[in-house]
Amino acid sequence: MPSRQVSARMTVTRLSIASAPTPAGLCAVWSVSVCPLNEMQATALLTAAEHVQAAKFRSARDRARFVTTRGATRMIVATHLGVRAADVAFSHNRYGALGVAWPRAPVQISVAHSGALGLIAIADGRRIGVDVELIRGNLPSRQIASRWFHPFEQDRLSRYPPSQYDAYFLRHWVAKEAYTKGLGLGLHKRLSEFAVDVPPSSPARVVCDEAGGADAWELHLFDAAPGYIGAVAHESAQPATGERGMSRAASKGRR
Amino acid sequence: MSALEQEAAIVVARLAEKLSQMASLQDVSAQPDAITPTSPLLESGLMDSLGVFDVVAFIDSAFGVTVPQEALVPANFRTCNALAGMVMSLKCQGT
Repeated sequence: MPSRQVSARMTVTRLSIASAPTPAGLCAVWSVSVCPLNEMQATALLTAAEHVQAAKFRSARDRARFVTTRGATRMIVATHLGVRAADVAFSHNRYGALGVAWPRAPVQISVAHSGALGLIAIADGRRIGVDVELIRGNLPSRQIASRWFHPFEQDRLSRYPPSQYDAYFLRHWVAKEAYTKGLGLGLHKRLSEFAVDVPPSSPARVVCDEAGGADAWELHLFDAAPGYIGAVAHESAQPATGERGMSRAASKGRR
Repeated sequence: MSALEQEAAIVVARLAEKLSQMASLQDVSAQPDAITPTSPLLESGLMDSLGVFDVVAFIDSAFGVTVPQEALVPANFRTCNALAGMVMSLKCQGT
């Protein structure tokens, strides 16, 4: 896995995702480990307002996660745009999604963290969303899926044996989260309005979306780090041609 | 303390216990801070989006209510007190 040093000591790693370079420009996912060394370096990259925000965290762990991920995001954006880290300013849309406010450039970002890992996705001129989850048990996977997932996904999940259910639930979850974040909507997107397909041995995809446009997106799942599952959704460089590959089951399953 | 206030206090305590369990599962290497009724849950990153649905599933089964999609707004998930307020409201509505 290629690693690239982007500051004196802070290390971020560019992850290999199955997305080929396109004329549309960069589309990449970076990971950063939330550790004391990275946190220390990231602290120097925060703005005064971000220091105030960091100070509000009661938990040292949560503060470290925010500081490290925010600092890494600023460094990655600055490196990509060829500006000083201090010149990068962030903003949030009405749904809370992070964006680059300055310099003005058609660059889109998405940030996720779980456990001791942060992910930063960046794309030129295309919307992008990323999610990561620490693989863990004790989740009410069946309860969440049966209540909130699209029937197509519920059907897919029902095919897995109980011992694999939680793992495939998390695959679905990160894929759905990456898509809703790519749309810039997050939790404001109803999870049953769209379906993803995340088979173990073939490419993941957004199968359908009641709002349309599912075929304009590419979806990739990856091992973000040992014990973590990640997903990135980004708009395709190719023009959309219609709701592609929507199975009969997905069509019937809409509600 | 009225019966309603006692019930609300129990709801807060059970939610705090659930959230403490979630925090410890997220990071087994660290001793998470105790969750208080006013601990920030979203701003602190303690409860991510999966955590929201984990808590919703807990609320549905533990308190016999059904959290509707419309209730999935940040204001209801900011603190234990906010969550308990949502639960008590749903119980009153009989959902």
